[in-house]
Parts: sequence; structure tokens; C-alpha cells
Amino acid sequence: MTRYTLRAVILCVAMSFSARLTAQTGGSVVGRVLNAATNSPIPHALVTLRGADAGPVQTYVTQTGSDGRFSISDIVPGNYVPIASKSGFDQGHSQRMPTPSDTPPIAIQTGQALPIDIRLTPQASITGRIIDGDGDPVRRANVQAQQYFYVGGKKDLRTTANAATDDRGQYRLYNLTAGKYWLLVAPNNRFLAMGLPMHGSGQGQPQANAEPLSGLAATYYPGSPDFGHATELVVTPGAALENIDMRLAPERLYAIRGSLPQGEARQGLSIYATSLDPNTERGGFQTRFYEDHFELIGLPPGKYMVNEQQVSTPQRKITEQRYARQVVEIVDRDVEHVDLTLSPGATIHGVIKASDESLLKNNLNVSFQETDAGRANGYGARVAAGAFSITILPGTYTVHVNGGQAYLQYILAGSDRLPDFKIDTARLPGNLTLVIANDFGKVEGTVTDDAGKPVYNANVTLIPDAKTADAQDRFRSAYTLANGEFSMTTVPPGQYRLFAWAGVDPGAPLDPDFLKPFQERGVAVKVESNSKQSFDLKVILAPHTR
Amino acid sequence: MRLLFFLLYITPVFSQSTLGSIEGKVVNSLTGEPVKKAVVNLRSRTGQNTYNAVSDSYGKYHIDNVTPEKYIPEANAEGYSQSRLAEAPKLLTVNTGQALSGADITIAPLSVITGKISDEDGEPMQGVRVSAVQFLNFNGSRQLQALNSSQTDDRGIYRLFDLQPGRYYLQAAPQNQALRNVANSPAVRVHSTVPEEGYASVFLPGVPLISQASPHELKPGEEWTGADFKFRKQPLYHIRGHIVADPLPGGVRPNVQAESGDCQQTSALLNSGIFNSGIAVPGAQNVFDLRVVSGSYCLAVREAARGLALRMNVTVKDANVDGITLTPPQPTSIKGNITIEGTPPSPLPAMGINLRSDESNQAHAQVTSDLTFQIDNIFPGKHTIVMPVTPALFIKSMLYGSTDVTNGVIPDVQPGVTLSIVLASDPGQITGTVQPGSLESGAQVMIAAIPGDALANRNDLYRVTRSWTEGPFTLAGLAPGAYKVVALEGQNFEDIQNHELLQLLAGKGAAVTIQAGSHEQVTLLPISISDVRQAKERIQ
Repeated sequence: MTRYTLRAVILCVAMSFSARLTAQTGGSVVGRVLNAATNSPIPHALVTLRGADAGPVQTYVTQTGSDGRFSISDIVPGNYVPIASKSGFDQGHSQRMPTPSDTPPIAIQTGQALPIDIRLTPQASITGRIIDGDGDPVRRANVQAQQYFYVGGKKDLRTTANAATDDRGQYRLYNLTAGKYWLLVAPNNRFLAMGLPMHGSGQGQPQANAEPLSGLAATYYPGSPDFGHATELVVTPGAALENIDMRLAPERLYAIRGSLPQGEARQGLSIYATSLDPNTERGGFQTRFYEDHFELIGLPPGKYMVNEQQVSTPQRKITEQRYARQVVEIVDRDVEHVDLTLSPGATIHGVIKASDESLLKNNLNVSFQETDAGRANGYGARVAAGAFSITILPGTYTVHVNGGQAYLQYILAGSDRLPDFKIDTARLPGNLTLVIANDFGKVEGTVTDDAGKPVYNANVTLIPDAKTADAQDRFRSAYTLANGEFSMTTVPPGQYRLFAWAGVDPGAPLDPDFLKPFQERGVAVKVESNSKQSFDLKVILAPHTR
Repeated sequence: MRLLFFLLYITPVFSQSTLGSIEGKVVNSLTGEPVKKAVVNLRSRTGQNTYNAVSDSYGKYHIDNVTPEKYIPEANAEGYSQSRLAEAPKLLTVNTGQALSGADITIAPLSVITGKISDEDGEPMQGVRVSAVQFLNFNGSRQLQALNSSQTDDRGIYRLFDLQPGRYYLQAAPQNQALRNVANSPAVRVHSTVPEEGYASVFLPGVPLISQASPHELKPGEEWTGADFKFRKQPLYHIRGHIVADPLPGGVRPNVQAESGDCQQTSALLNSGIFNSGIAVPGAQNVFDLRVVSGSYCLAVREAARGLALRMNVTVKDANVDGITLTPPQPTSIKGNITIEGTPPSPLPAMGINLRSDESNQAHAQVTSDLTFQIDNIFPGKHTIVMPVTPALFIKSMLYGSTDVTNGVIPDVQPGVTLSIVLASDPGQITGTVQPGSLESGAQVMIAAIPGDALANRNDLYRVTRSWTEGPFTLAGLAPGAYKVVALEGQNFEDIQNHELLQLLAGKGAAVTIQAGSHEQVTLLPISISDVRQAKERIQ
């Protein structure tokens, strides 16, 4: 015990001694943290200078005074990224994408006092009240602020903030980054389902006046369940949008019913429905099990995937996992006879091959991503001794190989070479051979603006010409340094177009609709095996999507 | 489950002319105003017939084709308490062909606590978790429970709604986000001029311990707006040291936590999980480093699957506390055997035995087919034996080494001492009826057999059931001894599991002495809901 403490003390002394040594030769920084919208100083903001050089990273931390000013001295010379953070302001890349207007890393030298201003963008809020057709507050509704993101080359609405309404129907969305938002209110209809009579439960006489179940419709601002009638809210830095109220219309809710296997064949069975409407992520519908059938209740009109899944129960009768699913559309009545037949999934065996066999020593994973709309299942399998085996639901999938410094070159199904990276479990002539390679090319260069000045945080993208399912895997993207330089070292050989953007939404250049007007400004690049090429690019000012 | 229960009944068929109907209003108990969109449920006492309706914009509901019977009415509406918890509902009797009207159901509005949280500069504090905390009784033990919690928004405002009326303590736990951003690691050397300061969790009106806190008595339908907190940054100090313990299988290391207060006085609260001033999972050398504000703390070492291993008081004044050595004791095992006197039921149902320490550590073992058991992972100290047995048997006696522990308490667990349990197969039984007293005939009641003082610790001896006035009840599986039997009006099951409350009400019950195999008969008068409520207030 005493020996242990003594060691700790010696270590502490040694550390403070070395800190003092560097102190005498250090640089310093003085500066302010400012509100980017109002230019007023921000008190009590945390300021960090994070070392950007290789080796042990030095990080300096201080906070601004009530006048928004800070100073840091005794800094080990080197390059540093200045970061400021304060509750209520956007902070770093986690909340927004890098842009050329970000404060670039600074070089600190001995004896120099560098002045810097760090600007923080204030966050915004949206508040309002949700009522039903009678003007009564809607409680515990989920109000979602959605923004466009590019995923897999497609524009897709994603929820970036959400809030629940309180007992007065009021909600408050806050800490919002400036941009365009769509509001979706998803009411919580669960309470209503409480009053729903059991279906054919063997009660006494049926109620003659039993009412059909109704709930409230999920609604887009300003007041339609149809996204086509939605209006975007433009939120500026620091804005407080008030009275963004919405009235939710009543909506009939329906049931889906189907038969159930009997007795032991029912063990380990679960049934659930998920909405296939891309704009209403709704699930969690109640499932009721009866003697000979199941019932999913409280579903608004729309398309659903009804999933049945049966887990294996080793000590009992069910020996393998089995699945069934079916797309069901509810229009204006309950849907009966959704009688699913459970079947085991498709089992796929495969091997990984590479001309450089050292690649197979890496920890590799194979993943299968479903491609049909509304069927977004993904599966992953570990590669062991160059082989894998996986059981997946029947369907069409894109195949990806992850891990290790390699890309998927082509696929053999049996002895057939597939035209792309897609497989259909119903049409596989044999085991899969996934051929991977690491003969990457290198693409580097600089980005300047029209005045010839280097651009910081320009987004350089390399878009594959072939619009195959694997475009995402081959797409490459990098941000420029303060001197305008960029470097992409793992480019699979092939034909590409190269672009440099200022302030583009990540992933947007993969969308053909986005790219179309800029197509001619891209540089055609042919990447050969193990090649190295350099390009000087002019920056393109891209329109913001969010 | 409930569905299968329905299916066991054969549905009697009534012709349309013999069926009745019910109509009435759902009413706010506080204002007398109608409640719309309430879900009304009528359930016959046997559960055979149930009907549902939703109240309209005048609070009215109507159900027809009702089989003649006695019904328990219930109403549920958003923002209201379930009617059965508020007060015992009056039964509705539908006679043949009757159109019953005026069947009003009263429900009580739920309550709100709201407030604003600011820092020493008066700036709003975002992300502070505010919890409404209550003492609740489960299976005879009193525990702190967070009933509802919410985080403050960017204006520092929080709002807790749908709270049942009752006595609440409020706790506010700030996030201390800035502390997490500035972490030292082997790869990053941090030079900080930011003072090590933070905000400690407090109870309203700003005290570290619940014993110092002032509770608020929340009334039905109340919106309490006075629940503001003002935080002040305090210097942080380190509590550092190391643990002398081998990692558990799988490399799992013990966890050290600093909890506000003195180890002896806060024992009942330790596991509530809301007193964390800092948690550290020891690193490679079992070293821990906790950051706390000045105050008194209980350091608690917990091991996965074993629970609390060690506690130690630490007082932090105005400096770091370094060099603490924590040496958790070695866990031990208890071996035991069971003997059954008389004819055991065949097949013998599976049995389990639990040991519970004062610190709420739980250890469990299954009794094997040769009627032996081994309970592992027990730390030394006082433990309570909890062994639920089938009503066909009762625990006659328990011996720990040569110490009689029939009262269910092992004073100190020692290695190598055997626990011998004798079960007997001739338990006693109490049957009886509950007279209406001031209630109507058929009102819902709960009945409990309460063991006398000597065995008051034996949670397994309490027996409860439900019935109605003038209805029969049976309490089976009673061990010989002195009991008090009480009947409570209503359906609030928390009350009848509250052994502290039952002991307080025992004086109003009937005294019954059970012998082996005896069948006793009692007639009870129900204790009214208002008498139960008064007794509950005395406990609080």
C-alpha cells in the first residue's frame, strides 16, 4: 500500500516537472468566443485547443470569462484545432457537417501570442400545441423534426429531434441546428386500444353498440397525413418558432387477422407488424393470440409487413428458426386470412478468395443487405478460415465484405460470374465465391476557389461511373486540409468522376438527381491498379438540402 | 392468460328480452364535471361478462345487451387515476330486462409538478433529471421509488405529469457534461485551467440527503409550480484508492460507488441508485478515482452477481482523499437440507430458497430432488430467509447450526454452517365471510392473515386473498401460530402487501390461533378505505 502511494507521488512530480520545462518555451493564444448570429460575446464557454500533430497529443482547456474572452499560455508549439462549446450552441462536427467557414487548425510558435475568434452558431427551438378534432390536447404524442439526409444515393427524411407532448398537448423541440425541417406528429393511440373488446373471446352477448376503434392520424405540418401536402419550416440560427400548432384528424383503426399453428407447433412464435410507409415509422402494434388465430389491432390504413418469427426451442419440438412475412394493405376494413406458412430461411455457404492471400488473415465480415422496398433486413456473418455460412430470409440482397484493407472485386455463384454485387436467394446456382483485392489506386491533389486561394474543409468526392448496387462501397470522400490538400488512398480501380464541393450534404453527390446539373464540372478519372494520380480542383458551391 | 380464463366458462344464452342496459356519466371527482373520452369497463364479479364503452363529449356512456348480473364498473381516462384506486367502486346490479340509468363513475384527476432550474448566475440549466420520489411498500419492505422523471429543457423547465396524489420528494441530478469532455487518457495530455467544479445531485430544497429533504403533499388535480431549484457550483475533490480483489470470472471487476450519507443510516436507500456522486469501475490495477463535492459519503463496493460486498464511510472536507484500500470479504456458501413431516404432496412442486441481506443483496438456490440446496455468493452478516412454499406445506422450524432461526433471521452467516429446514404437511386453514358493515352487499374486499409479533419477519406467513362482502373466502397453507385476520375495503393491492400497514391494522382484526391441520372459522367486519388511508398517513 505505502509503496503503491509513493510510486504515484513520484509520477506526479515527474509530470509537473516536464510541464514546467516546456512552459518556458511555449506559445500562447488570446481570443474571444462569439455568437455567430449576433456577434455578442459568449460567457463561460469551454475552449479547447486540441493537438493536431502526430505523437502524444497535447490538449489545452480553459473557459471564457463573463466578457467572452479567454487566454491560454505555455502551449507546446505545434498545430492545434480550436474548439469552443456552450450549451445552446452548435458544437463541432457531431451536430453539423464541416464547412469551409470553420476555424482551421492554427500553428502555434514559441513566444507568439496568436489572436483568434471562435464563432458559435446558436441553436433554435420550435414550440406549439397539438389538439384533436374537438380541440382537446393530445398527450404523449411524438413530435418529430425531420430533415433530409442522403442515404445510399437517395434523399431520405430522418428524424433529427423529437419531443413528446405534455398533459396540455404542448411540445418543445430545442437544440436545433439551423436548416429546413418537416414536422411529423405521431400520436400515441395505445390508450384507445385499452377499450377494444376482445375478438371472439367467448364473452357473453356481443355489445350491439360496440364502436369501431378509431385513433388520431399521424400528421405532417401544417395539417395533412400526406407528405405531399407538408410544408417545410425554415429555421434560422437562434430562431424561436412559436405557435406551431397542429390539429389531428380522427382516423379509423383496423385489425389484421390470420390463423395460427396449433399446439406445440406454436412454441416460441412471435408476430408483429411494421409500417411500410417511409414517412411514418410506426410499429409497436398490439398482437393478441387466440385459440386458433392471431389479431394485430389498432392499425391505421396503409401498407404493412406482417412478420412471423419462431425461435428454436432446443428442449422442445422446434429445432430451427423459422420465418414468414407478407405485405398487407389496409384500405377501409379489417384484413382477414393472413395465414402465413413458416419456413426456414435460405442458407448460403461461401468462400472468400484473394490473389494476395495475406488479406484473408484480416478479420473479415460478410454482410447481406436487402434491396426490395420496405424489406430492410440486414445480416452479417463472420468469415472463419476463409469461409462463411449464413441463414437469411428469402429475397434479393447486395453483398458487402467489410474489414481489412480490401474491396469486393467480383462474385462467383457456382461457376457463374455475376454482373454486379446482387444476389437472389431463389436463383443461386451454387455456393458463393467472393473475390477481394487490395490493388487500390491513390487520388490526391488540392482544391482552390476562383481567386486561387486554397479551400479548407472542401468535400472531395469520387463518384463511380457504373451505377451498380455497390456504388456506395466504391464511392470515396475526403475533406481538404487548411492548405487545400486532400488524399484518398484506398480507391478501387475503375472509372470515376472527381468533384470538390463547398458545404455539400454528405452523400448528396451519390444522388443522380443532385449530381445532374454539376456532371460536366467533374473531372473524369480512370483509376488503375496500384496507381497514383494528382489533380488540382476548383471548388463548386453546392446548394444546401437541409 | 386472461383469455384462457374466459374460455373455461360456458356462455349462458339469454334472449334479447331478458337482457338489460346500463347508462351513466363519467365524472371528475374534484370538479364534478363530466369526463369525455373515458374508457368504461364493466366486469362481472366472476369475470365471465365484460363490456366496454367510451364516454361521449357530455361524459355519457351507454351499453346495451347486458347480461343480468352484478358488475364492477371501472373508468380510465388520460390524466385521471384509475377509478378502482381512487375509491372502492359501487357495484352495479342489472336485473332482468332492466334499463339501469344514472350509473355514474367518479374518477380523480392526476397531478402535475413543474419548476425551473437555474445555475449560480441565474442561467437556465438544461438536461437536469428531476425525479418525483416516493416511499413504497413491496412484499413487506419499504423502498424508495422514482415514480416519474423528466429532463429540463433549454429554458431549464421541467414538467412531471400524470402523478398520483401523495407525498413526494423531488431530486434533481445535473449532467455535469463539461466534466466528461475534459478527460485525460494515456494518448492525450490535458492541461486545464478550468477549476474542477461540479454540481451535486440534491433533494428539494437543496440538500444532499433525503432525510433532510422537505416532501410535498400533492393533492388530486394539483399543479404544483413551486418546485424550483437553484444550483451552485462546488469544488470537486477526488476519492482515490484501490481494491484488493481478484477479477471475477470473465474479467468482471467490482464497481465502486460513492453515495451521500452515512453507511449505517442510509442502508435502506443504497440500492435506489439515485445517490450517485460518482461511479468508478476500477482500471487495470483495481484503482478507482471518484469525483465528489465536499460531504459525507458511504463508499460501496459491488460485485456482479453478488451485490454489495463492502461499505466504508469517507468524509471529504476541503481536500482530496487518497490511498484508500478496500478489501472485500470472501463470499461464502450455505449448504442445507429439507425434511418433510407427514405426507408430502405428489409430485413435489419445485422449491427455491432466497437469502436477503439488509443491503438488499439477494442470493437464490433451487432445492434439488434429494431435498438439499446450496446457496452461493453470500457475504458475511445478517440475512433474512425467504422461502415461498406451496399451500399444502408450511415451514415448521429452521435451524442454522444449533441456532433456532424459525423467525427467518440468520444473525451472522458463517462458512461451513448448515441450514436445516423442517416442512410439515398439515397446515391450518381459515374460512369465513365478510359482513357488509357500513358497505353495500357485494362490495370488493381484500382479506389478510397477519402473523403475530414473534414471526412478523416471516414474509412467507402472510396470506392474502380477495372476495366481496357476504362472499366466502379461504386462507390456506397457514403455519401453526397466532394470527390476526383483517378485511380491507377496496382493490388497491399495494395496501395488502404493505406488511407495516397490516401490522398497524391488526388490532382491528379477529384473533385466530392455528394448530397443525386445524380449520378455523371467522366472521369479519371490513375496515373502510378512509380508515386504511388514515393508517397509511400515520406510517408516512
